[in-house]
Amino acid sequence: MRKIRFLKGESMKRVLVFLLLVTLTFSVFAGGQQEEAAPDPDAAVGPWEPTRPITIITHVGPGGGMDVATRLFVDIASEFTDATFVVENITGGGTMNASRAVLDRPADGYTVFGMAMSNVNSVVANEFDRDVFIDGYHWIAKIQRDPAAVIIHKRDRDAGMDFEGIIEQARQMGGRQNWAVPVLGGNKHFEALMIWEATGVEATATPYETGPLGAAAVLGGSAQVQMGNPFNAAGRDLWVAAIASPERMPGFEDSPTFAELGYPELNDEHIWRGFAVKQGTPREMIEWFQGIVLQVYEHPRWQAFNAENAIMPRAVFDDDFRAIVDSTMEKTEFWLRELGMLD
Amino acid sequence: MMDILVNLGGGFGIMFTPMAIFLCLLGVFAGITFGAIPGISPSMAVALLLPMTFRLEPILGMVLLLGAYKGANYGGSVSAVLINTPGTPSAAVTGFDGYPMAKTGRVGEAMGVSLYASMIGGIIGTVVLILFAAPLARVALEFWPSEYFALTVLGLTTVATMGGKNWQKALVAVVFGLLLNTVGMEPFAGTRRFTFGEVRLFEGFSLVPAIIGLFALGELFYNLEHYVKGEKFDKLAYKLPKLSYYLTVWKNITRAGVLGTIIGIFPGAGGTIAAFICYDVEKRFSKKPDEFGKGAPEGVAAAESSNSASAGGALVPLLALGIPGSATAAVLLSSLLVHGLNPGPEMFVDEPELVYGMFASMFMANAFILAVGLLGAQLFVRVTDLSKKLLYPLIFVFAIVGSYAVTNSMYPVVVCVAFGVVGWIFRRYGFPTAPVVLGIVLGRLAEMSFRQALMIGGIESFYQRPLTLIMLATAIAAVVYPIVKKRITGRAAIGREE
Repeated sequence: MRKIRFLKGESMKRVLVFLLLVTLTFSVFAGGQQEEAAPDPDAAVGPWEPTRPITIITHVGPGGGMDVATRLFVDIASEFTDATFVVENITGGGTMNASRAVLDRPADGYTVFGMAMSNVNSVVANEFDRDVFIDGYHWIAKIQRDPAAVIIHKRDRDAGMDFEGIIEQARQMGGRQNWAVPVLGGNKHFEALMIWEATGVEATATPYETGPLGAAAVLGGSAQVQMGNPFNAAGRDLWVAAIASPERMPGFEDSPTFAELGYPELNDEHIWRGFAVKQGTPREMIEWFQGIVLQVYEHPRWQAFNAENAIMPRAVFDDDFRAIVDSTMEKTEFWLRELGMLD
Repeated sequence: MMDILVNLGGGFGIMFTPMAIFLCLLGVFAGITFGAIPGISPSMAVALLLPMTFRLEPILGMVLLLGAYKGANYGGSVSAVLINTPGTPSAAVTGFDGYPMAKTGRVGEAMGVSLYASMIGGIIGTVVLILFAAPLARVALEFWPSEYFALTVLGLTTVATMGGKNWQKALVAVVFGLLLNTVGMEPFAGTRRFTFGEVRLFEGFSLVPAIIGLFALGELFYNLEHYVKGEKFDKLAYKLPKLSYYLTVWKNITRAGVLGTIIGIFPGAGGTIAAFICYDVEKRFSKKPDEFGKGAPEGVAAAESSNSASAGGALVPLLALGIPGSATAAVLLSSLLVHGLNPGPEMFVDEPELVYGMFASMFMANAFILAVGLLGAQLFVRVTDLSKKLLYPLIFVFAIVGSYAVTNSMYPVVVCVAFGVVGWIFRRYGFPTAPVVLGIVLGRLAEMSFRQALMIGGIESFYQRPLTLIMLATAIAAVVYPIVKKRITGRAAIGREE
């Protein structure tokens, strides 16, 4: 093996020149970002009309739930405004990269956070500063409500299995019944825990990363139950055995609600998606954006998209939305402590 | 069979309309362009075009996206071959031999093999998809976490052939890659590991900037260190070989195409793992395995064919079960959902025009890849004609901008440069960089599937399921067989000498 030698002479010079180049590149990028961070003096003056593109930053990658919803939202919104929207995916950091990117930009109304319940979970789970990552936002609008659903294989349903059957099987398996969830310590895991607590059983939650992979686990038999959303069952050999909804959902008429099954306390479990902006954003912009949300909410394409995906469209604004965020924090904190995942 | 042909005929009927042809060509062109840019993965390329499909007929939207998917898979190889900067993660394997070929003046040959292998691999993937989507999807479901873990072990055994005589250094490199996966949030419950309170480390070291750094910047720093003023590249053979030349690699293309499709059907496995495994298989089959990694066209053929074929494989669970087999398939699923279409067994019955139109568009996309690739190759190869004084800064800028594009932030750029230094050090002291990529690619899946399997069935999972057992046994054999064979050959040689 060759001995390790230090660089000398010309080689060293070349590498130093390159490292200088690297530093320069960083400076250029950093400079660009700082320039972007300069406040817009016109932001809070007069009725709000966008004069440049509005960036909606989402924490999920292309094709993710919030990404698709946001892209469709801005496509429909283009019917009501001449404003240009740009959807930017900033993934990673347990959703915090996107959140930080929004907070790093000026509160001038040209940056919107397209976020979901998982952002709030992440703040609590990772013990981030809530003054910054929760109170630092104005919660403009909740736009979607995705109900919780207990899903099993159609083959099992045809063999006579229903929600009570699932619970009975869980008892028989003594904690070995496997429930597919996306991640441990996430909303679907909490929902499963609530069901087990309400029904007095124990089972195992195994993370499969995504809803479709959880569905595949039930179809393939490595999991007996999926804790997901009704849409995970749509078009597949899967059946929703229980659904968190005030009434039976279109397209899932043979699936009983938790209330019908005698568990009304589980009937409101869902995940939500919505928009937020940095505190200090002009009130006029917020009202302008909420107007767009209302118009999109009523649009047949938005209604149809949500109905086809078993999602309930919503338009919940300001303090009402913030109350939902607070409730999410409380629930997350409670279950993480129960699981021993939070001090 | 007759039904398939009739439906396929209907699908081609849809495709032979000016709008469909235009969108397919547009998709392929955009896909190749995006794919060739490091940092823009096939899924990002397809997602960039996604909003365009909202107002189109569902079939036309899918024609555009599938064209981009296929184009991006090929496009990634262009920059990998020419400047050792893989445009997509799977193209890193294409660069193992493509770049040495280009460096030694066989740039036209490398580009030609990569183009034809990509096209034929794509056709193989499509044919398998059309004929066996439903049964293969059922096979994919039979893969439990213990099988995924066994697949990753099988993948890791490729390091034995990758390292050659330097297998100890290859082992160090792959372990380094595996350990890198321990940085960031662990995949089970999001627990932070080695993040030191730094939020940007939560996501760990993402693959794309790491690959760009290891290969492009590592090579660049090394070349810079050994730069001799006025030095020129070897005399370059720009011209693509004649058609008869490709017959020399048809077996590699076919084998890798079939195997790549099969690996592609397992959700989460993906084109990168397919490329690594197929490359390894072809090296084992080769009569001249020592030439792999130094400019073997068989290596380029295997990597490109399998990568392209895996795209067809990834559509098997998507169309037959509604389960996306790759990140790009997930974006395709989004497009279908926006149009209110649920992929699954019922879609073959309810929407045959859509399903078979998609199949037909995949054939057409392959033809367009060949056309655009043949025209483009004449231009692309001239990159290597640039003076090093111009080329090196260009590669650097390309790598930095490509890394920045991954998450539109500076963090991947820092990762890219850091890995560039790692790549340079590895290169300097004779450690192969490819096993690092293998470790990063397989590490997360290995950890996830191992822990899932333990939760589901305990340690018994690994020996009570026959498929797991077979795959683990194959993995052991893949490592042990060459060692035993070498010893037997060695003893026979000693015996003859005596």
